[in-house]
This record gives sequence, C-alpha cells and structure tokens, in this order.
Amino acid sequence: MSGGYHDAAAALVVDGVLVGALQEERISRIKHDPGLPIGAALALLAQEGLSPQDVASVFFHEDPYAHLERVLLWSLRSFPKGLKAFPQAMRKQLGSDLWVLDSIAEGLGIPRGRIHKGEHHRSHAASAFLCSPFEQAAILTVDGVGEHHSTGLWQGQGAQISCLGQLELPHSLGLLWAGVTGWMGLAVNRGEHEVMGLAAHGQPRFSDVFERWLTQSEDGSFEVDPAPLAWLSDPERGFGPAMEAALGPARAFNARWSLQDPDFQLRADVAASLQQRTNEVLLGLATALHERTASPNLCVAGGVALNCRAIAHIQAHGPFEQVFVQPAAGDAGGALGAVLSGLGIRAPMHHAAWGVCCDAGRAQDLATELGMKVERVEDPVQRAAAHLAQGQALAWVKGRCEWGPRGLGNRAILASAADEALGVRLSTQVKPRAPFRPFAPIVSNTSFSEHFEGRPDLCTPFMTTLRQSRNDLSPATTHVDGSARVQSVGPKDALHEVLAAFEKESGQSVLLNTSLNGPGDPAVARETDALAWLMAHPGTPMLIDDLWIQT
Amino acid sequence: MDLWTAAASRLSLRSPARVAARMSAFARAERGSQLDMLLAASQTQDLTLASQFLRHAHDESRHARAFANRARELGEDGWIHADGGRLLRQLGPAKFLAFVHQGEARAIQRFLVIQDTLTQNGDTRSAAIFGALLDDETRHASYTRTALDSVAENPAAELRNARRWSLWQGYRRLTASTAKGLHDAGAWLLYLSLFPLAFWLRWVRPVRSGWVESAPERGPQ
Repeated sequence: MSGGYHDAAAALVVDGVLVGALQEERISRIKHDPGLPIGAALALLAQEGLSPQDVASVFFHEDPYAHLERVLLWSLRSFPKGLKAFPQAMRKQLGSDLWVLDSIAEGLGIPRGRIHKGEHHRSHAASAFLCSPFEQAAILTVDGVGEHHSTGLWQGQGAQISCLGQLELPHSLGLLWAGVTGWMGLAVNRGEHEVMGLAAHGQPRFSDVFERWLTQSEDGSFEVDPAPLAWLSDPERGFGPAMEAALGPARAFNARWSLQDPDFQLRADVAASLQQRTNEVLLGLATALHERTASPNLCVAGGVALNCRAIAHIQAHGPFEQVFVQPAAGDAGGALGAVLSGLGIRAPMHHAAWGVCCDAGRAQDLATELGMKVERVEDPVQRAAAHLAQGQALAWVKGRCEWGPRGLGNRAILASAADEALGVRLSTQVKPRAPFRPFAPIVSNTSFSEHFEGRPDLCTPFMTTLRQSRNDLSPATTHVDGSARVQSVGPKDALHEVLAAFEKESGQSVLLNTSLNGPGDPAVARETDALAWLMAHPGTPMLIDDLWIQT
Repeated sequence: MDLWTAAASRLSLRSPARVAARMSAFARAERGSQLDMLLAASQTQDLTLASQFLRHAHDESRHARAFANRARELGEDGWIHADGGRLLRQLGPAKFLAFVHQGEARAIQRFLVIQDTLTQNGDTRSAAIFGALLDDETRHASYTRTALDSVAENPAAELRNARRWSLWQGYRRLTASTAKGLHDAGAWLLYLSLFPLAFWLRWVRPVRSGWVESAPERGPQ
C-alpha cells in the first residue's frame, strides 16, 4: 500500500502472483486521494474472492518514523521560516501519518504485526525494476521527497535491488517542479503535467535562471537553490518571493487559461525553460548511472518519471538501449514496489488493466432504471468503428480499469484523431481542459512507424514517452511542437480490433484516446461511475462490453 | 430557527467577498454530497435506490459547478475540493436516508432565507442560483422520505437517530476545531522554544549535497 500524501494505492499479490493494482481515487472518487487505500484494497480482495483476514502481510511503501524525523529536522533547520507551516505539519504527523501502520491494520481489521514498513525510494525503484522485462537494469528514482531523499541511483539484478547513492533534500527536482506549478496558478502535486504540456508552446528564454537554480556536477548529482522555493514555509504554493522576482508575478490560483492572455507566452517560456533544464539534468543522471552500472537497460520511477518529455529525451540522447517506465510511476506505484520488494518477486508488466471490473449486467439494469436507451450489440467492435468513422466520439469501457493516471484503452473517450474540430469540441465541451493541453493518439504496432518516429518500445504501451509525428494526419492529437504522447497497442489489447475496423471504415489508423473522466474527477472504474459520466455527457454514447448505452 | 437563520444569513452575506466565500463553501458541500451519493449508488444493491442516488449525485455536481462559477465571478478561485464518505455503509440504508432527507429539508429552508437576503441586497444573480436549485432540493427531500418509509420499520425513530448522529457530528467538528486551535498554539510555542536546537542541528546535521552513502540493505520491517 501507498498513501498518506497523494495518490494512495494498493496492489495485491496472491500466491506469489500479482493479481491487481488500483488507486484509491477510483473507489473514493476523490482525485489524487491522499488518504489510505483501504477502499482499493478491499475492492481488489473482493474481486479475488478474498477477505482481509486472508491477507498474510501488508507492505507500506515508506517509513513513517523516518518521515516524522525529516519533518522535524527540516522544520528546525529552516527556523524561523517554518513557523507558519509547523503546526499543520505536526497535526498531520501526529494526527495520522505516525500511526499509518496501525490505521491500516484497523482499516482492514487484521493484526498490526502483519503490517510492514518500507522505504519510499526503494519502493519506487522496485516498482520500476521488478515490473520490467529486464533481469538486470540500472534504476533511477526521481520525485519530490521520500523520507529524506529526492533522487536515487540503483541497480537491479534478478529480484534484488541495491542502492548506489541518493540525494537528500533540499536538492529535489520534484520540489522545483512543485514550486513552478504553484507559480503557474496550478495546484501543487496535481498540475505538474499541465506545466509539461505548456512547455511545448514556449521558448526556453529563462534557461539561465533555471541553470542557476538547478546545477549539476559531473557525477550526475545536482543541487537545487532553495531560495525561490517555499515547500517548508508555504507548501500549498511551493514558491516564494525570489521566484516572482526572477520570473514575474505568479498567476492567480485556478485562473482560467487562454492562449490570448497577454502573459500566456511568459508562462509557456518559463515552462519550456524548466522542461529543458529537467531534460538536461535527467540525462546527466542517466549518463552517470550508466557509467556506474554499464547496464544497457534503464528503469525510471518517481513522480518526475511521469514527465514523458524528459523520458523521451533520455531515450533519444541517453546511453541506454532500452528504457522502461511503468504506468503508475508516481507515488501510487510505491504500493506495487513495496509488495514486490517485500516478497522478493518479479512481475513483468505487459498491460495496465490491473484495476476493478465494470459489471455490464448491473450497468444494463441500472441504465434501464435510469431511462437510458440500452442495446445489446452483436458486433461491438464494428459498431464502435462505424460510429467513430462518422466523426463522433465514443465512451469505451472494457474489462478492468487501468493502473496509473492514463486511460490506456479500457476506460477511454475515443474519436478520430484526424478531426481537429472534434478534438476542440472534446476539449471544450466533453472534457474541458486548458486549451494548451493536447490529447493523445492510439495506434496499432503495425501502423506505428507510418505515423510516428521510431518504433513501439517498452514505454509506448503505457504512454510514458513521446514521439514526433511523421505527418499531419492526426491534428487532434499532435501537440503544437509536433510531438504526441502516443500509445501503441498489440494484438492482445482491447482496442486493437477497434483500430483495425476503424481503418477499414475510414482509411485512418490513428484514434484519439483520452481517459474517461469529467473535469476534476478520477477516471471511471465501475458501472456507477460510468453511468454518472454518461449522465453528465448526454451527447456521447457509451459502449460497455457489448452494451450500447445512450441517454 | 428562521429568525436565527435570517440573522446569520444577513451577517454572512453582507459583502460580495462574503457572498463569494459562502458560494465556495456551498460548492464544497455540494461536491461532498455528490461523492456521498456516488459511493452510496455503488454500495446499494437496490436498483431503484441506486438510480435515485445517481440522479441525486448528478444534481449535486451541477449545483457545485453553479456555486463555484458564481464564487469565481465574485473573486474567489473557484477551486472545489471536498471529501466524501462511505456513509451508506457506515450508517446503514435507513439511517443514511434519514440523514440525507434531513439535510435536504434543512437546505430548502436555508436556501429560501439566503435567496431572500440576497434579493434584498440586490444580488439577484446569486439569488437566482438558489432559486434554481430549490426544485432539486425538494425532489431530493421527497424521494429520500419515500425511500425511508419503505425501508425503515420505524421512520420516525430513524429520523430521530439521524438527528442525534448529525448533532454528534457537529459536536465532533466543534471539538476538533477547538483542539486544532489549542494544538496550533502549543505547536507554535514549542517551535519557538526549540530555537537553540535549530542552531545546534545546523551544526550536527548540516545539509548534505552530492551522493550520500547508500542505505544498508534491509528487508521490510
């Protein structure tokens, strides 16, 4: 289990085999749920026909006592700047975090002795390596902060992971991103991916500022200037006056974005500068790690690993032959890493469908009760393809929900990637979002190279990297700089047949694929979430297995 | 109750900034209620109730957006973040329905008073939002009462239980808020009194740069 900060999650291993992994937000419906993943754990157990009493061991992803030590240490180190945040930090520590292992035992109704603590970055490292196809690999973990560390170099062999070195706070790429995210008027720990999307619109004209704030040594280690950040004195904003002095005034929190805003280009240029410096520093880390391990394989985890631009940069310019980033590389992934490293087992991940099922039978009954039009279709693939070929969007629900923040083909809104106007309609009406954020394309392995540079790799099935588009056939999913966060699918994937049928119908082989959720909501998991989404989006039909539902 | 609510309403809505803050608070409350109803829909096996809960959740989502949009127009950030609970599982169907029914009935009274106050203050735009939601609230109060009558052996007793539970929750919120104040004051005093330790720590545990020694191998504990 992981939790207590953001993106709580649970993963379940039965008899040495990984059988499920699920973020708490999919059950609680609170996006990035920071609580404990009791609901997710119970849902995974129920799906396997198990009860909490069947659980032999629970592995928590970090050490709550070391966490408390770090909070106390930094509160005092930063004296007197920590005065404002100290009461809140202690309330959280003494009120919940310190007792997290007891709370898990209580929540599941099992003895406290079955709950074990782990280490934050070791859990990240394990989530990256033990799910990879590699028997041996270099591992890089980069996030905001674990117990004391922000970044780690590791080496994996078989089911063993050894630490080569770690960087301590305040030298944290994640906290620098958090500060800039706050300065952009976005929520810290939630809006970092928007900053990444914004970067494509800008020019790195603030690169000198970020080179000053983020310096790197030849051995790959880096230092972050704490002056522009305020993670201790004002953790909700994350930045201080020095950032505003260097970059300009902060944007109002949660203000609406417009490409016509007079300061839009300033924000985009700052984002581009941060992204460029991040690319350089991560490449430096990867190069240093390669020198120490001589491994051809790299696994990356931690919140910063979700930065697909930086991962693509490492793939393009780094010394590794293969790079692997699993879909829940952020803190949610710690749950998976904790249980795999706790048990000392490997679970190479070939798909992301590790969550809960949507019960089509109950969906049919419930949709009928709600007065929706429900139809069983003989050939759902053909029906979906024909609908998409007519230039319409479709909500697609099949099998188990995905692990990680991306819709990877089991809970998706699909549309033709060739229809730019439809993409705009989706981003303004169906799934309102900042106008600079792109949608992602999905394409079969066989058509991949026709549309995107390179070939499908270990990251493309999980949308954890980027590729440049080769043509202008997919304007709805191509970012302003020509990049696309493409998902590749093979013959075993649920959407492979739909893509083939869509190509027959329309002559196009790329679909727009975005996660099935409303603004501010987590992605749909179960049938009630699916129907709630449909009620809020009456113009878009939904296909749940072979059930065609319209309002 | 009405006089008290009216007085409190006048006090809490006496400036656009206060109206905005109130709108934000309502947005959070509606969002929290939406989450409660969504979870309730997933937890009940009764299809009729589940569909009613889903409709209810849909209404609450619209209400939250309406309040958040108005709050944004009046200068708030419009950010809605709320927690939901697994109230149906915690309370059981009868007590849950009684609790929701009472909440909706109370909301109708409160909305009427607020609508009246806002109209008197000349803020017809905000007043119209409350007016538009009243039909929904009335429907919610009605279906929950009907459902309560069908699932509870003694609906009146369930309503009394729900009222007691609500009061208990209110008391807990009040005491938690008081405890928070006391804790924060104590924490500030503690923090200030620790300043010699702060200087000592800078000496014995300085900030470290560069790669630190790898942690010793250890399994889960």
